[in-house]
Amino acid sequence: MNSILSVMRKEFRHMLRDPWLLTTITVGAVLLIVLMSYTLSADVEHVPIAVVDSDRSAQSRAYLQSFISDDFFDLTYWSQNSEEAFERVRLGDAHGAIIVPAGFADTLLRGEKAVVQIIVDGTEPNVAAQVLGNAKALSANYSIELLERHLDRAGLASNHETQTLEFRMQALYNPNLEEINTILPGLMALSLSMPTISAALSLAREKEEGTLESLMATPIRRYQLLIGKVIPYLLVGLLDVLLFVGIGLVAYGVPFRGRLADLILFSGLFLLANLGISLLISTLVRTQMAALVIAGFVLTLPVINESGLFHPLYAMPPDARMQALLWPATHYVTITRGIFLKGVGVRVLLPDGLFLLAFGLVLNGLAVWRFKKKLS
Amino acid sequence: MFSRIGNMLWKEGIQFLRYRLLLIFVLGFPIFNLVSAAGAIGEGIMHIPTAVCDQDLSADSRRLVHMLRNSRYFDPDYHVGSQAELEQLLEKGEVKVGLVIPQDFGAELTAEDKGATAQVLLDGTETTTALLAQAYLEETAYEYVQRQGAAGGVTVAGGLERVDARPRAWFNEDLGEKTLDLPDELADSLLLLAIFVPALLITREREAGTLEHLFVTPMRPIEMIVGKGLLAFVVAYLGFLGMLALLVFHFQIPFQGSLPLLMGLTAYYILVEMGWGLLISTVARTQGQSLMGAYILGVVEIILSGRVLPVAYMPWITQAMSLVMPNRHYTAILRGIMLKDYALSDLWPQLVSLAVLGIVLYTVAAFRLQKRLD
Repeated sequence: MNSILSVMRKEFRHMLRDPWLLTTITVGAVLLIVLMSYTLSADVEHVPIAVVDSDRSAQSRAYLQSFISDDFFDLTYWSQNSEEAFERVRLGDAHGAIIVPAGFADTLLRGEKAVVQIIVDGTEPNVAAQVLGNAKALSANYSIELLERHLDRAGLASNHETQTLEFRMQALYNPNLEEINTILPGLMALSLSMPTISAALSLAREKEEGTLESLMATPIRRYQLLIGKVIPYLLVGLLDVLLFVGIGLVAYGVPFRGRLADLILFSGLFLLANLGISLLISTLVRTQMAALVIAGFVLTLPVINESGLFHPLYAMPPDARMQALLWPATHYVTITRGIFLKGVGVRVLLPDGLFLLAFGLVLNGLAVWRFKKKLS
Repeated sequence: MFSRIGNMLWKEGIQFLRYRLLLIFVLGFPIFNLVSAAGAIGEGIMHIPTAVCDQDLSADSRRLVHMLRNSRYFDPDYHVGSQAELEQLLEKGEVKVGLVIPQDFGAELTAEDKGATAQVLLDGTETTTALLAQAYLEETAYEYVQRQGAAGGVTVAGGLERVDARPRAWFNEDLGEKTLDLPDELADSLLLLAIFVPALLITREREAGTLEHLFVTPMRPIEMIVGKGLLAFVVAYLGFLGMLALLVFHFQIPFQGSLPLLMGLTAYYILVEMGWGLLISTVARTQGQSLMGAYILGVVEIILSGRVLPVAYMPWITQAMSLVMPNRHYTAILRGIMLKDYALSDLWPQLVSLAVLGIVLYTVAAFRLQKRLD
């Protein structure tokens, strides 16, 4: 125990001696999460749209009016033909197009179905899906209006043959569907890679500088050495978690419905798992450069692409979902959103916690084993 | 001058080859990442896990559930007896949407002067899913009434006029996520390659104290940067070629524009991006600083690149910040050429931005290097 403590003390002293590094993994991590949350929580609104109204009738104008009065759409470009609209979308000026065909009003007058083309830019799938969803909803509403007016004219307004169905929708955990509430807790998984990577760099630096050999000459055991090196970074990571919560509550008004103790506990497990990855990497390589490049890739790209942070897990094929569940970050994103927004605790999050614990123990164990093998 | 640069390149190349594991990783991980990303691509936001609490159990309510399933937007796989159970499923994250059909649903639907109401609970922790589910449900409600009317023989004189919004995606017709996600992954990996590798080359030398040795030789800082940079460039470009080959030959991503144009502009982009790596390495005092600096820049560039959220929807401050991120311009180039058949003339804003950025970055880096050595 004493030897672990002395290694820890040494590591802390190292950190303090390089204030740049300490600042980076605390203040830097906070600034990073502030910047990312601020950027990514912007709503997709006022989407610039190119319009081709080939009908130019009162009907088509009435239909388009429903888009104009909707905040989601900005009917910015009124094009003469679909080629012009195509070019607008191709160059990225417009993110979608609405094409009302000639004969729109006549078709409706005949009591038939008029088809309007909604064009989306396939290179921005998230925007495309929202444009589509909103356009369909507006068109459906417009159709209902038409129907009601029709029935009115026919004197059937309060006739029993009108049927309506209404979904009364309510979003739980985040009633106004504010993006920041889901983004900020999720991004913690990414920001916590900073203290983790520093740990890998620190171990690699000692190897590079040869100071590791001198440590090995002391009666400290290998596992004690690794534990002593890891704990300071784990503590800095937990400090980061507290700072993130503070920033989230104060600057962004993100709700925190769970218990802080749960968040600390699960964050500790996540850091343990990530530090396992880091340490294992630094026992495999000889230089800081290699440690950073590998840890940088491994701790960043899966978080961005596979953790459920930006792409929901259910939308992945089953194999990929299984693979995504092997990364600690995937579980941590569930955990942070659960604790912040749903207010759930150990009862619901236990499986995720156990996975992180097992992952951390196995990887740290492997790191100790590699470390022994290499030095003996 | 060229022979000196050549010698430098040779020395660096030999040194780099000694880090075999790193080399394998640098060229291998992007490939691994692409392959695993290709496996992770689904159909987009479809088949949202949904739970239904059907208290009516009528033909009408069953028809509604059936319609949800047929739309392919919802997978109503969970059937529960009470709203409490439904809330539990939402809490655990098993489902994202819960539908409660009340007992008198069928009766109200056909009753005079009344409409039926069903309650929907959405998981607000995934806002994109919730927003889309709302829009899809509104459409479903309308279609349901339409079909119900047709089935019940409700015909109004003159038929039922309505407007149908027929979707069509341009530039990525089936909204194929593979077509888009894989080039995006390529841009992520290339970015990390282009800043990590040069960031190390100089700091390593300085820490080992061999930088001074190099400067007592008749080498000028510019030659030194060129020599180091060339090696980093070659490594990053090899990484790019590997990934590109995989995209084009193995995954057969439809390629609209000109392949040589993309290959040329990628080289141009890597050079500019490396300017950041060099600048960081001249500002940092230790390798650790330089490496963490490169890492932070990498994360910020990915976030501001416009791949996660299109730049146009970001707050203006970060939109402005993204202008100095070469990767933002490269994203536009890559997507433009691959998917929208951009020619060189469509890309001049990106080319000019990159040129200005490159000149500034390299000038400052050379200046810093000179100053540190004096």
